[in-house]
Amino acid sequence: MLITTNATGYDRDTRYVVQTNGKIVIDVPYVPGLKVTGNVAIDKYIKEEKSWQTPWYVYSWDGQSTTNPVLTKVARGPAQAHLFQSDEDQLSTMLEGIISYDHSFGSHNVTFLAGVQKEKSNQSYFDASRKYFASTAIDQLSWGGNTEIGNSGSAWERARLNYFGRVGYNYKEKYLAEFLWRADGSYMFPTTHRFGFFPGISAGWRISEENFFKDNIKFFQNLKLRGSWGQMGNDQVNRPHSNDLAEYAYLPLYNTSTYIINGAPTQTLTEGTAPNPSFTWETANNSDAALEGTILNGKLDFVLEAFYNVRTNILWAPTASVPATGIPGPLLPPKNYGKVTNKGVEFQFNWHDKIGEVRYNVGINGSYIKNRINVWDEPPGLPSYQTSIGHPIGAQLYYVYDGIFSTQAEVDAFNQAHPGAYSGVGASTIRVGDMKFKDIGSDDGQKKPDGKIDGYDQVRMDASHTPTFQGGLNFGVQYKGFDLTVLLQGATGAQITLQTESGTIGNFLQWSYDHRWTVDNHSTKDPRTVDRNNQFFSGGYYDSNGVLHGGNTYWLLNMNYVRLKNIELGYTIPVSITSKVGINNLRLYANGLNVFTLAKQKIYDPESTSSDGHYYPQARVINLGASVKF
Amino acid sequence: MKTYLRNISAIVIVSGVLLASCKKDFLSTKPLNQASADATWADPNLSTAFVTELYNGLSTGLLDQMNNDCLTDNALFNFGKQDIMEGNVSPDHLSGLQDRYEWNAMYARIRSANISLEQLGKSSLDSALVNRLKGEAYFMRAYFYNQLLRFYGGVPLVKSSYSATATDFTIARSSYEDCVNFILSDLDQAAGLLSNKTMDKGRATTDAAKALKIRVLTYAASALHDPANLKTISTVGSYAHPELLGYTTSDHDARWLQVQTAAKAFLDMGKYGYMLNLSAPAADGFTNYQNSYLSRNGGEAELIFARYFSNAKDEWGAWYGRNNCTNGYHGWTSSEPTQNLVDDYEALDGTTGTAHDFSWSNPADAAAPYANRDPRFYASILYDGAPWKPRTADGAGIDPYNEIQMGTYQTGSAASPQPYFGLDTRNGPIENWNGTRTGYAIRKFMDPNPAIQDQNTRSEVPSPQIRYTEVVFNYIEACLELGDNADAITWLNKIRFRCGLPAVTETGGAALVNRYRRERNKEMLFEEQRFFDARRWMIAPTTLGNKVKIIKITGTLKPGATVPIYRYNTTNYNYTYTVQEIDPGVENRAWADKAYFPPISRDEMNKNNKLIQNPGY
Repeated sequence: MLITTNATGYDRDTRYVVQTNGKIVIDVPYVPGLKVTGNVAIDKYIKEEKSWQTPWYVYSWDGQSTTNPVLTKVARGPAQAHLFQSDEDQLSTMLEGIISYDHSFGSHNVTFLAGVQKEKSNQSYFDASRKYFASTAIDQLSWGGNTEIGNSGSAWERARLNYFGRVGYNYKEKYLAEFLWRADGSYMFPTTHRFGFFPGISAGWRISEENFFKDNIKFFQNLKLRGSWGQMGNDQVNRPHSNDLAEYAYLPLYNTSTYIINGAPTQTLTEGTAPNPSFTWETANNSDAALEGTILNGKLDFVLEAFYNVRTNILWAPTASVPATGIPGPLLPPKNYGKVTNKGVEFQFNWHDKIGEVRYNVGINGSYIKNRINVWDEPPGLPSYQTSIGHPIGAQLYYVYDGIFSTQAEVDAFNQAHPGAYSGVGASTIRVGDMKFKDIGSDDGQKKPDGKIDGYDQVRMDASHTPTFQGGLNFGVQYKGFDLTVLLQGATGAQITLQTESGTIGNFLQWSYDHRWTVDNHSTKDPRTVDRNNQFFSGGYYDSNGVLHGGNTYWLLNMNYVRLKNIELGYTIPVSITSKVGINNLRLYANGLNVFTLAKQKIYDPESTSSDGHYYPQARVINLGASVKF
Repeated sequence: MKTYLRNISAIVIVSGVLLASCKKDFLSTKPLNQASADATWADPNLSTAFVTELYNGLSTGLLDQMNNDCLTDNALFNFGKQDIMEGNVSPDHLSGLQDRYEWNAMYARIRSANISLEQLGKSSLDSALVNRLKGEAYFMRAYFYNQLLRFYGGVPLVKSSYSATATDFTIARSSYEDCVNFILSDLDQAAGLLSNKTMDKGRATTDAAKALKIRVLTYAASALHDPANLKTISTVGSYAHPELLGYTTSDHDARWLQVQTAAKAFLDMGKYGYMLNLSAPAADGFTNYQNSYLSRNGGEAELIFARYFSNAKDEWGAWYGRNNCTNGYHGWTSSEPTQNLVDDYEALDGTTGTAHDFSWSNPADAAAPYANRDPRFYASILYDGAPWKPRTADGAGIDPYNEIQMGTYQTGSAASPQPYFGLDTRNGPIENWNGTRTGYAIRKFMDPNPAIQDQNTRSEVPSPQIRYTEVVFNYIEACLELGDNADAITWLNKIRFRCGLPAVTETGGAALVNRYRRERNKEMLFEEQRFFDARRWMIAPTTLGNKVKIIKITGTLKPGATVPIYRYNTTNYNYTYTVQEIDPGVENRAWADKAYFPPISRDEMNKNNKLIQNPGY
């Protein structure tokens, strides 16, 4: 029985971060409102890692001796200790200069700003390792064995140069308008495409300040209409199947590796990326409009907002459409061609009032977002019900669950009538307890059944692991020294797949135990138990690009939930008492986090952001405390 | 005034900073960790490094966790059924494809070979080096195309590298014949450019090019690629493009003559071969065979082209020992020999020195199935009672004799026996989820050095990509096809004498051909031969389609025997051997004719509309 131990060595990760900022603001003489600002930031980051793995021992009991138990000592881990040390060093500098001008001419207020910012980062890294330590007494590299000595080193540099500005105008704080712009340059792009221009405008109208409003409509204490449209750029794109940035994808570059020649590792070079000499910034076009106000004598505040964001020129490597005979997937450079839309609405209502001495407030907020892919890299010729275009990011293909082959008679009849119907998914015959899939499509990509289950019977579902609606309800009460706050939150629209490493190698969920076909219980709903994905209906796997292969809808879990996220009750002892002991404020409180959850599924934490549920569940926490102010 | 000066100077400084930041090449940072293509091809060492990377396309060589023979009647993979063995592959269900011949992996390497040849073609480096590197690149390009050809049939011939900005990546498959000719021309180039050059161990040589050419010619001359035979395969009969799978005209004798001539020339060089000059069965065939597959003690003379492993680099192929040894040694028993294979080893008669085919209906054979067998059996396979390396500390307490335990036995006294499950079984006490399902484990290519504890030590046994014995077999096959039985028998006997077997008794006809095929299978076991041999000889339905047979061994204590710690011993135990078919849930083998030519993935078909799919899909 082995759970955790520190007998195997240690892994230390120490990081030092120094961040410095300097700012100088100069009021230009003779021109009131004109300022020149300079900003400097210098950050240094050092990461040192030391990982020391030692041999360790497990004692196993022979299973029989009890009074004098016989234990056999078995060595585990490396036969001799390994030591690995690494050092990473980063220096980032930022310099910024801004000219700004603010002035009021009567009821007209004008602001103007223009600036330039440049950033540079340099990093260097090296590591060293040794194995075959004769003793675990000294954990320093010089004491390691003299074979298989390892080391490596690398470095990078990055730079950005941004120009930006803003012009703003408002009249009596009633009509507000602003125009802003950015011209961003990044080292990620080839020389001819380094800069992107991103303008934006916003406007606002405080309707409640209008004379006709003030005189005639007392209902609104404040009413404002505002809207904006703006662009932003993004240059962060990763290499395919990787968490590394696709830097210098416009140059033909080679990486280093090794191969054994003459009994020793010899240096080799391998292509990094097939270069694309022209690609540039992704652009996000964000627009929104909102109405905000306060009514009922200041008791009710509200905000209603609608937004529409379109990301264009999304950088992606076309791994789904370039064949392997052309350029292998991992070598493909980014290209600008994606388009994704996000649209939605948000609302917020906050009510605060008092009844006698009791003050209370209630708030409710929510947002609903629809995400759709408009243009994406896909293999040509995908049937319309399988394309990811028109669906959210993260929506996967699934076979559709259609019940279970629960009796032998059913299985025999099926195998006789449709021999080999499921061979397209890897089942040469059907066995009792297998899952049924709906026959959706046929070989020519049409949405009509063809008597066979294969890749054409997968359907793109509309949900991903990101919820479409999220909201919260908060509630607070204060009475004399007592205060109570409650926060409820919930979300709907997210789905994840149930995936566990269960089988002869790992445990099963209680849920799996309760929901399975057995010889004694011919379930018509649940299939036979699977051993780590060894059946065609196992639920598939996610590849390194986050794409699900071979999934089916039986394993989809609906992640809708409502959770009492936070409830806190506190009491502040009257100042008259506490000031006697020199305390300005003494508050006692009890609070609970994640107190209860109503969720459609009881397996995973419904706030999980991982598409396969591998997310450390949040705990219910009850705190009792006191806060003291002197 | 002072404030004024201070303010002005501050403005000047800040403006200076702003202006200084407008340097145009501020954003032209450099890739500090990568070599540029131009720098590489102008430097002899870096150019060599780029070409050397091609050899990494060999991947683990033959020493993969799932041995290629798991896709044949020789072995079973422990971790998941192989759909191709159930006749169940389809374009979106490709089964466990290995990166030594898989479409995407091979074309990635072919691209590197094309880039090498393009850059070397305009290189101004020393011409001796350039020619040598070109020779290596031509060889590896031919090697990779042959991996694709013998698996898929005719494939698109990409002869130059694409740019990422190309607009049209579509390309059609070339005919089988065009592919063969392209590969042969690359090999001829390679042989010429590499002739009279001494190459480092691990690199291609002129002899490797000649030996690979013999392999390609042998496959091309084989029955599968003759159009008359192709038509007899049910899925190919009405296929519209048989030229993708074989020749369009029959020319049996001329093609086999090409093989015979090339192989004879290679044999006449007299440069390779280990112990293939005996005139009678060797006394220690076991050691000879072991030396030839470990490439040691003279066995290195077999190697024509090899993929080496070194303890200086941690690679998957070096973990072959841990991946394949039994769970009783904390191994994974990944590739498991089948009873179908074991039954094919001949039984030797100790007194007369003759050999006969083993049979379960022969009582003498069935009583002691592991006694007096072909020495290659003992060297290739771990079986119940086989002596092996010292156990790990926890196993040593249970088995101090270091003998493989594949059965269910009894311990204690015969009067009140306790059931005891063998250490190397799926019911044993050590990691039994990794236990063998067939009753056997691989021994071939495992380093028998007792100091190497396979569970946590890598081995340095090289992977013989092409070895001399294969050239000999190809020569024998050509002789048989052309009716030169005498020559064939002479060489077949040399191979048998090396491993201690007597001369063949067959003199010709189908019997001799069958003997040759069985000989080739056992001699070149686990060397990526059977998968292709069974197909090109068109015997796949009666071999690869057979259900997996396993053995169940029980040992019951004889009356009066008392055994506290189990050890194989016929004095104390009655052993029963039951051969049965494996549970169909593990792998339900069946042959489907479409498996002669596995499919191209649906993804690739969608990306390239000029591709024609193989028949049956």
